Amino acid sequence: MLDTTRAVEVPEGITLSLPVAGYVSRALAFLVDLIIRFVIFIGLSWIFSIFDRLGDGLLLLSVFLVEWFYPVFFEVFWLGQTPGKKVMGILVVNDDGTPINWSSSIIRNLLRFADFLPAFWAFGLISMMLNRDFKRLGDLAAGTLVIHQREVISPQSNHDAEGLAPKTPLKLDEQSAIIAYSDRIERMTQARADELARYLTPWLQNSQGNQSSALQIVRMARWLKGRREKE
Amino acid sequence: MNLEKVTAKIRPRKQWEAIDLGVALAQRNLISLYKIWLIVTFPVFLISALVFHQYGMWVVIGFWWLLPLWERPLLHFLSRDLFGERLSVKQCVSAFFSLAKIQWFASLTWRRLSFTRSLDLPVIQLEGLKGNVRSSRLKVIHSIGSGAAVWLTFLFFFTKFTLFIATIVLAYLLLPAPMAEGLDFFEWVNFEIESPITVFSMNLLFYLSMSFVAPFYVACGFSSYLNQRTQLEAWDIELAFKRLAKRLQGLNEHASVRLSSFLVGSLLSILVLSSSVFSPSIYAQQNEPQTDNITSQNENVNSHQKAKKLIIKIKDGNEFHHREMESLTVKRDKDTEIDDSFNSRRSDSGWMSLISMFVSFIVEFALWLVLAVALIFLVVKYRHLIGGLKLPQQTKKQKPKTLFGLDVQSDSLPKDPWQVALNSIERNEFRSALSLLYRASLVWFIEHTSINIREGDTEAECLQKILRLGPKNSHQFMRDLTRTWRALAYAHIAPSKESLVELCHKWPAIMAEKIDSGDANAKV
Repeated sequence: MLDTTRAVEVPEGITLSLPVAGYVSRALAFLVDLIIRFVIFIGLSWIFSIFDRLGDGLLLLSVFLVEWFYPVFFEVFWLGQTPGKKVMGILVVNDDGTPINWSSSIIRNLLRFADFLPAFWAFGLISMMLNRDFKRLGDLAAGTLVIHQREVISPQSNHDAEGLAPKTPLKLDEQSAIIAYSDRIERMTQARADELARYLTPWLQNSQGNQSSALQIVRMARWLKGRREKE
Repeated sequence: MNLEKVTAKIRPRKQWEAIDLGVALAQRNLISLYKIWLIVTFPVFLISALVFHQYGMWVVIGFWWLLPLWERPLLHFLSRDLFGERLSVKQCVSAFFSLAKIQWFASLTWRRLSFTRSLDLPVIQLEGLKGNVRSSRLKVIHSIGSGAAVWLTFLFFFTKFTLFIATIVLAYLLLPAPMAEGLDFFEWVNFEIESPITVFSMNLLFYLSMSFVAPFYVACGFSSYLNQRTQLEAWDIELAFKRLAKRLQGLNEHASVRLSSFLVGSLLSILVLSSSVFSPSIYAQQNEPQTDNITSQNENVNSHQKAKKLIIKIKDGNEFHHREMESLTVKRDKDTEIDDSFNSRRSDSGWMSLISMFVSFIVEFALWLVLAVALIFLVVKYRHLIGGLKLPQQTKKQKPKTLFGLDVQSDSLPKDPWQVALNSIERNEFRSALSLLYRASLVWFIEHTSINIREGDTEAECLQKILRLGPKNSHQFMRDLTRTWRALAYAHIAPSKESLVELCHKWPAIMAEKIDSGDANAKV
């Protein structure tokens, strides 16, 4: 099964799947950061212009510092996110899923220089396109991954139905499918919702009489979520 | 379209994540996609570049304008591949003309600059929708959000330029300096040089940059389209419910259940087939029966799997895991001439060699110093491994106050315990006599030897320690004393008076006050 997640096993024996972020979201995050840095430089040159030639020197120094350490600073102190990454909902972590630290952040950001070659970050671009984990050269050297933040989908279900116990014990993925059905039913057309429910009709309780299969599944989801009784 | 045959993980994703799936999809089929692309487009490009060479960069702009047509065979391949059907490159190339015909005029005129081109292409090509149906369908597809598709088009447009310029810069950097001097870089990029070879190579470079990007762009658009439909139609839930239904059917092999599900299934397939919302073209093509091939394919698959297992088994064997490591030192500069010249240069000036000798002396000295410090450190750290080198223990051993209920502090004892014990024996107080004697012996070991007796130790453990570390002449005595004491204290077996008296008399000889503790230490 093709997917863009990478499995990481933590010492507790749990396997996490990290959704790796690819070229498009990363490039856009980079563009946002580029614009922010540009604005910073304009602001600084405006401030330093007061100091005449000393200001020129100070500006050059601050350009150096911002250009090289802007990403490092944010990645270390802002849980792996620069402002651009925050906008795109991505973050940098180590290959094993742990938060990024000073050394890996410095390595991956110093190597932006290698990714820049021969012009306009072309090597980084090609590397991100061809690498299975969408890593650029800096990521390969530092052992870091850029991943998507999880999006929390708020359930829209406002059914006030009583919970209904499934007839047979269900496996984990089956339970989550039933809960997903109940969470997303509002966003489906009625026809599609009924069509999906019909797959389970033979198994659903006949004693519920005139209740539709869809409603029974929604009630089952409520039961699985722990709402066994009517409140 | 059979969802169960899908070869990518179906789950609702963020829009950006869906685009990443497209990159992965393209990566998986990269070679086939490039083959299809090059076979379809390269001849067209080549001919037009040769015929219209006097128009300069217009050749490549024209080619770029026709992109919607070039992308279609790629989508054709990807859409089949996703549902487990491998088309050959040949099939895709030969399908080009029939694919290019689909709504070609609209695609190349008013829809050409649409930013959601990649997302919309599957609607016309795979679902085959036209006119109002198409636009209402697009509205539904876009309802989940088309921002990512817009940015995708925007970004990939600039990616082509990035690659184009990067390739030129790379070539420029790799040119030997005398050749590069005569070239004006910006004239090159702007097609200002009229030389036909330069124009052609610039066109070719831009064509190649477009070629690199194209499969990714198509695949990303396709995967966003898939994601929109997954969210709208809950494909992931359909798959899970189908699996669940299958499992439950296996659980209760009940005739009535099977019958009803069969009825429902057939009802469903009729429903699905008659529904106009779903892509008729995909259904029609995917449902073409291939029953003739199925049996032979199955056999093939079986023998293939067997062969694979056999290969893995053989590869795991010892024959493939034999490793040897050889190392040899080769002098890098075999030429003695180099050495000579180096030496001669060195002896050129006397004071230079003096300084270098001085520096090398300091460095050598420092290195020896480091070595010495390291050695001393190691010796000090691991001195307990080296016999006889043990330094006096820095920490004073902890003296227990009581052992198995007996007070073993030296000030609780009389001055000559064996005399006191003898007196007790005279009065037939064996227990107090023996306990005093035993206590005094322990105190003696604690005070005068390095034996480390802790509060939790039992009599047997004390004896063991004494036998291991104590002075040899005390061994037999302590063995007898401990045995007698344990028999009396715990088993209430009274010893004979004579043996007790004998122990008392032996005591002063063995527990002589001034046995030097160095003797005991040396035996550690």
